[in-house]
Amino acid sequence: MTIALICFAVLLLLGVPIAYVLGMTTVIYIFATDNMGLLLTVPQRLYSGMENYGLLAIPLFMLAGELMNSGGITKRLVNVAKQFFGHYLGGLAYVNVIANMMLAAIIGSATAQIAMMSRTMVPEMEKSGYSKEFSTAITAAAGLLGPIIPPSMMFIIYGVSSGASIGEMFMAGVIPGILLGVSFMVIIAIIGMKQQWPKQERTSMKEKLDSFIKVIPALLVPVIIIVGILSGVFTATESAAIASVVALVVGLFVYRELKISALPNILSSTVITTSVITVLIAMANIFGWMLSFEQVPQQIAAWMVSLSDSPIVFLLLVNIFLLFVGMFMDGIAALVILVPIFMPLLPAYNVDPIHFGIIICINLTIGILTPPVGSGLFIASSITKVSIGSLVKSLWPFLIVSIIVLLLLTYIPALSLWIPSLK
Amino acid sequence: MKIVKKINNFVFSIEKILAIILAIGLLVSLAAGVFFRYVLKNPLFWSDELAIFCLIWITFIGGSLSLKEKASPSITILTDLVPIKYKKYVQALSNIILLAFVAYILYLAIVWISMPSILVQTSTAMNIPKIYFYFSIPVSFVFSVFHVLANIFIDFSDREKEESLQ
Repeated sequence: MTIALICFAVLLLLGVPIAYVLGMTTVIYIFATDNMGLLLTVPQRLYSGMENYGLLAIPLFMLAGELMNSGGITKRLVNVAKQFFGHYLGGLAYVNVIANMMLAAIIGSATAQIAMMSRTMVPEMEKSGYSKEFSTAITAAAGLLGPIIPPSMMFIIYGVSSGASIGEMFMAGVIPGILLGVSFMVIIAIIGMKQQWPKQERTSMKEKLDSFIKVIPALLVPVIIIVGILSGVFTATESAAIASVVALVVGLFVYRELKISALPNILSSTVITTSVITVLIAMANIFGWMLSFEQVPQQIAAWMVSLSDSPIVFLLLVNIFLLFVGMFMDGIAALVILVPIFMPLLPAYNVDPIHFGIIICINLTIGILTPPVGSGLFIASSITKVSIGSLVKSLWPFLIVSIIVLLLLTYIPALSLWIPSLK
Repeated sequence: MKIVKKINNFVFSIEKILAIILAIGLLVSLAAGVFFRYVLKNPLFWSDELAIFCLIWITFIGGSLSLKEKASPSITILTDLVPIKYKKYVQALSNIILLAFVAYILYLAIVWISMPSILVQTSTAMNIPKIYFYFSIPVSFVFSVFHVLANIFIDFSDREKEESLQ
């Protein structure tokens, strides 16, 4: 086991893709412990990890997001938010957060959302007189809502690797997502007041109504997901299939911005973004098997319980640990590695798996914006050409508020568990 | 070098075509499944299984594609600190390790699907031989070996070009 752990650390630091490091470590472990008979189970386990109905939701929600984006949805969401909220002081900053909240109800990935919105929102805010740094910071922060407001790649992955219901995870994310969005708006109000941010002109009722009617087809997606899952009619995977079909129909026939000729590229990039996640899950499946073979989760559990038997202390330690991990590692990779380790700990502390899922997913999502390594930071800065350093300088109020929300969610389980209990 | 790039791109375009077909297959089978279950009230028995078949192939073919595109996340905190001059060696080392691994998994996968017990397995719903599902691993890892090998060559020659320009 020690040899395997050393190899794990060295391979990670050498820059080998994390997914493959998980597989390599397991193979090295089998060699080191001389269990050669297990080698043939490696490809078999790679395969069996994928035979999972819940995973089907990942490519479908990816596809729905890509179709919506190419179909011109981002523009329309920004427009409707502008009609209703643009005329307040710092109007475009609120518009940014609100458009991001609506987009988050259609797509489920923070980095995808940051990439889309950095292209549309940041130039527009800059034109109206906001600093580029702040515009980028707000866009990046609001992107965090992507995987918290359902649908969510993180929640699907958590559900698949923990056995928790994906539908319940989706429902549990609604209040945390709104809470986070509202807290961002409070920060914007405070900073906007101080710096006297610009506002847009008030628009007529007719324009407001017109812009609203235009987004209704797109907002069908969140309605299908929420109503379908809450009423128990659809599974998360089925709602993802419907979302893709709706996105396709809306893009081709309602907005008419989606070109048939763009479909091959949309499909192949959906395959690549999907496989980046599913290969990780496949490899984590053999890695997790090694950990349980060595009883690592049980040992960690025994050690944790000896440290403290209070759930409050346990959750605090978990949060600190995850924030640290999130500074260096991709959130989804961390999620697939850590969930099998943490799950056996939950009964000992009487923590609900859904509640724990919200904590771990939101914590690791914040990690995409924490330096030194954060994919969200890299994407935003490469699109808007703001240096990582000055982006972080404008971003810190949002990071602090996110951590405060995270602590609220950690210690008030009802915020996550109330909506799923309505089912 | 040109020939390496050419073969690499040829493999890439085959994978891309497969990827597109698989993605369509996944969407159509699940959408049809929903339509038959809720609208026609006559559930399809094969839709979930066909979708999972597509997902498995998407995973491994896509995994190979993302090796070519270098889309799979890795930890770069230490490798970023390495001076430019030595970077190509670190990169080559990590690629050679990766090559050894994908080649070894390819070998294991071939041994695995050649086992006689594999041939008699059939899928539960569609009753087709499971080996069509299992083929996804060896086939994709052949492609992966190709891409990693090509990456090693291309990285090295590109870096040398950069250095000679400076």
